[in-house]
Amino acid sequence: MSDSLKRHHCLEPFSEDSATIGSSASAEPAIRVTFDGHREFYNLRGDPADAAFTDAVKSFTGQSIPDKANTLSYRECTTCWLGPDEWLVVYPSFEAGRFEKFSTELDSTDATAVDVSHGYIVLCLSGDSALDLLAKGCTLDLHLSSFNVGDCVQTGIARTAAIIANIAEGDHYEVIVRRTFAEYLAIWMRHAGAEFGIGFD
Amino acid sequence: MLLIKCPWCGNRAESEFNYGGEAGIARPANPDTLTDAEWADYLFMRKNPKGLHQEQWNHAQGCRRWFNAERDTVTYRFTRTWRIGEAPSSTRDVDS
Ligand SMILES: [Zn+2]
Repeated sequence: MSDSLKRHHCLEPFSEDSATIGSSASAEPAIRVTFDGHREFYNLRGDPADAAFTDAVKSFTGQSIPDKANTLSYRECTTCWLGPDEWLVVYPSFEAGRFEKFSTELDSTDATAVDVSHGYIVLCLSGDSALDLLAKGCTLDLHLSSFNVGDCVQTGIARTAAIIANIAEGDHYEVIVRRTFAEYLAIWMRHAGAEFGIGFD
Repeated sequence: MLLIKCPWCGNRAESEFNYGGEAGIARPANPDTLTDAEWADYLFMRKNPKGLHQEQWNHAQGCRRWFNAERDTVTYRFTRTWRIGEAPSSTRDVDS
């Protein structure tokens, strides 16, 4: 029996190939991208007017599900609004048995949870020009007047369907994307970010 | 850029949406009793007006919900949108 297995994700080769790109290659780049391929994602469907469902989720995750469109709630996990009856629950790391417990919690309700951890990866962007980069690839107004901490939007970035989560003060943004599109999006970022200076970890 | 107002997400670029044909076409309750002509009318015949048209749209790169929209087929202007199962507002967001 193996003692432990190292977990890998699909963008590790990309990180190794990509040095800092752009004009400010010698200095700290204006955009830094790190990949997080080890989170847990649960797709949640239920009726927000059903107290049995909302209470069950709250008792498990420790937070209410966001009922306002295009927002998220954040504590131990992030719960993103995806639709009027759909959310994405994101845990920062994998924990054996957690999904089974969550699923059991919902057994007595009409809601469903599906473990979709294998389907998504997160590109964490930080730096002064992170929003400028995203703005190059999507049609949304990402100005402070319409995009703030606690907002999360589903949109297309460079023709890839993605979720942009504004999770913390300062220039920190998470782009949640399907794994099969992640390498394409990272390559796009490498090119589109060159004018600002971009580094991948 | 043409903006379409998703009833859940608000104004978004047209490129996030897919068109889904004429709105408000109900499946006949008793298909067995229909003549071929009536069945063909349900399946294939659509209004195609020059002017205001009620349509189904899907916010494909956003919340992925279907909704209803009223659009002027001459100007392309969206005059109002509303959620499935709800009635349209009595006033238009913009004139056609
Ligand atoms: Zn929407």
